Amino acid sequence: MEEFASDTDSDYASYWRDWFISSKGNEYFCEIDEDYLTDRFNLTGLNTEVQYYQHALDLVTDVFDMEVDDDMREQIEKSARHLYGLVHARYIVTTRGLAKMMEKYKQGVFGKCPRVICESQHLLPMGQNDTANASHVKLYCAKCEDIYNPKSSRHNQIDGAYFGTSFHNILFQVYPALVPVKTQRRYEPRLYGFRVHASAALMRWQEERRDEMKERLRARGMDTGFDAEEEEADEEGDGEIGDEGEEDGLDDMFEVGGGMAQTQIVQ
Amino acid sequence: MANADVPTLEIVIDYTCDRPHIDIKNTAKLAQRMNKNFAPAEDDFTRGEFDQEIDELSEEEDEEQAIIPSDADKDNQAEESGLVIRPGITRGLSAAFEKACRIDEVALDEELEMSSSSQAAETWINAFCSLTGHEYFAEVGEDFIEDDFNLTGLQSQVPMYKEALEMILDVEPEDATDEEDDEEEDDEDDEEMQVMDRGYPDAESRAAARRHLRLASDLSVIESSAEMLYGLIHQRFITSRAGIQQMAEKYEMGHFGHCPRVYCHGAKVLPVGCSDIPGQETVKLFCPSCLDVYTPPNSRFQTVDGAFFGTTFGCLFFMTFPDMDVGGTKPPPPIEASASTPTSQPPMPPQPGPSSHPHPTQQAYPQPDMINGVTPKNLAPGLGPGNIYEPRIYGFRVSEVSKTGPRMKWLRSRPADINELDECRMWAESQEAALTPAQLGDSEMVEENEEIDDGEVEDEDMAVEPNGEEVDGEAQEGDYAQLREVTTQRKKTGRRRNRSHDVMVNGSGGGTAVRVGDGG
Repeated sequence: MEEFASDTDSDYASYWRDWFISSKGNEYFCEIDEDYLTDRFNLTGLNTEVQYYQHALDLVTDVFDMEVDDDMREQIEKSARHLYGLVHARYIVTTRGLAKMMEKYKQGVFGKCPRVICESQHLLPMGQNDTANASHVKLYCAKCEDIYNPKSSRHNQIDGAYFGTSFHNILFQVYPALVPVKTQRRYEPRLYGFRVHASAALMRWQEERRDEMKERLRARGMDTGFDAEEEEADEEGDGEIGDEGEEDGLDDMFEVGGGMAQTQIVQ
Repeated sequence: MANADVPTLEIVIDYTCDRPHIDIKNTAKLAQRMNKNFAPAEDDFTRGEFDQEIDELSEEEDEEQAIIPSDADKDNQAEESGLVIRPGITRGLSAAFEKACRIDEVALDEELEMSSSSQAAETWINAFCSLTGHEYFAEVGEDFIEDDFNLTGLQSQVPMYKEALEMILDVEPEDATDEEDDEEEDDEDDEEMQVMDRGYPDAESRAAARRHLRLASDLSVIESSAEMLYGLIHQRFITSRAGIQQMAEKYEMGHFGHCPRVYCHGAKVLPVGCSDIPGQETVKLFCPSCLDVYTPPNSRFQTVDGAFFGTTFGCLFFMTFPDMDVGGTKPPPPIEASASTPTSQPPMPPQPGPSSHPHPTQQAYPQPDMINGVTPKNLAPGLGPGNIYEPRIYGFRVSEVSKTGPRMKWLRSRPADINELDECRMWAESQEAALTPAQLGDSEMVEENEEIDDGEVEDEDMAVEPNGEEVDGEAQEGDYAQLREVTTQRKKTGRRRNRSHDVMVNGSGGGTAVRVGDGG
């Protein structure tokens, strides 16, 4: 972040937000509307969180025109970034913010899920805390519903509070069509084609939990959200837990041998 | 990395002599010296392009800290000449060049006078393993490769097997039958001269000129075969004692990276394949902490074939080193300890006490030292209560009943009481229970269940538990009616257990779960 001091010396006055959004490492942020920033209601409570609040706000809204020395400018810049992040967390759960973030999500700006079975599902940024300086930003995968560390060290430095704990969940509540179809496929550790007992036992246990959940959902007439084909295979297999289908693409060579190593629990 | 003042170089690799040596020629100087036009061969490679590419790439891959010497030109040429080369190979060659290029200009002059074979001191295997993108590979011992038994069946899988094997072992081809250049009469003499007179530019250039022909056609094919062969040998090697030891060292040093999953707390991962057949999947990373596979974060590994590691290695590794700590070690309160005991963790809502557990007898048992052949602390320590992401909106958990509610918790779950995974014991218990009630002898029903029961017997067969044998013996007595009874019994116990689990997962937390925005 050192380079920014020299950058801003020359053109800090114009479009601070443009610069901030386009600078390297800030790809996760979307641009906050001017009128959202200038509405004091939206900034409630932030004046206690941010040092040099007024100067920082002026800088963010491009009305900062005070002559200050470099050290002070550095401080104010730092505060401005912090302020922007905190407002960002509030902004992205508004209708307009959500729409902007959804666009970025569709473009895959936030990266792809590293989990092999998720097949490059796009991720969403999130924080594990809503208070600043508690944790760095994480990435949420809607397919496996788990959170991952960003692979770039630049992104690993961003405060998680700039996105918040609720944003990604709200996004899917507002745009339920974006929720990806879940998959029951999974990786199965194998030794010369045979499943290993310890992990296989755990997976059978997990799959029992899954089937209970599906029963609960069906009892309420809910959609389970899993791939329909997989579910059908599941039904037909009657307790097979869709095993053969789960290995598509993975463990291809074991599909035949798999029959031998088949260890099913009785449903 | 980029030395602008390095002169343009032409590089020729020679694999025909005992060691693959790399000749580097300063074109301008050579031309002066020899009054001879040294026409750049197809495969020649210039330092200038190279640097440029590195600069571009390092810009692109900056965030991954990767500098990939990729020579697109070579690729294109190979395609034109009808050769199919996977990027890894050309990358391999170029990195070898790159190494050879680290000679300053002064040294270069000397090199031209002196023999250049001194640069080629490292073996093909060394060179291969130190290439960018090949960091996951272990160095297969030559004695392993020299044992024909270890190579059984590979001959049919790899084209130009013999040449490839020779390349890997840095052996000079015994019969020079594929010498394409017959114009020179003293063919055999020349072969010797090539080795002896390497110091002299004239002989050098003659030999080099001859080598160009070979380079353009065979070398790239052999190189790709050698890489494939090495990979397949590697797959076998890393399941051998020496190989797995070498991989263990690499693992301990964190050469393979860490699990990207937040709740694995940086557990170390292991490279695995999802297929044993080459050309199907690239290498993946297996996390022992969540028993899942991930794509390597760096794109340079996208060219490495998963079959070069194989499906077996991951499992075998952790079975070979059962005492190895697989859990992550990052900040939050000792994850391993809390994961193996049914205590509640700060981020999780409080759980019902042990008293509400359906199997009070089980609670009396302490957590076992071993469960299904592994220590509980090494059985997926990154899963289970406290390590499952819980979606929340403004602090309220999103209900499972919501349209967008959590559906994948099962994937990261793990019983708080690890005894629940002891299927052998549970089966034995349920069988005991089944012995008491009157037996139902419905033969038709029995047949229906036969298949499933067999499956179950097999299951028990595979168990490493000491009582597995005994259970198995009983099962094979073939009292199907009895088995059936057991089955139903087990099912019931299962259900009962399940219901209590529900309570644990959903009913806790003082009813904070809300159903949000269900209507859409």
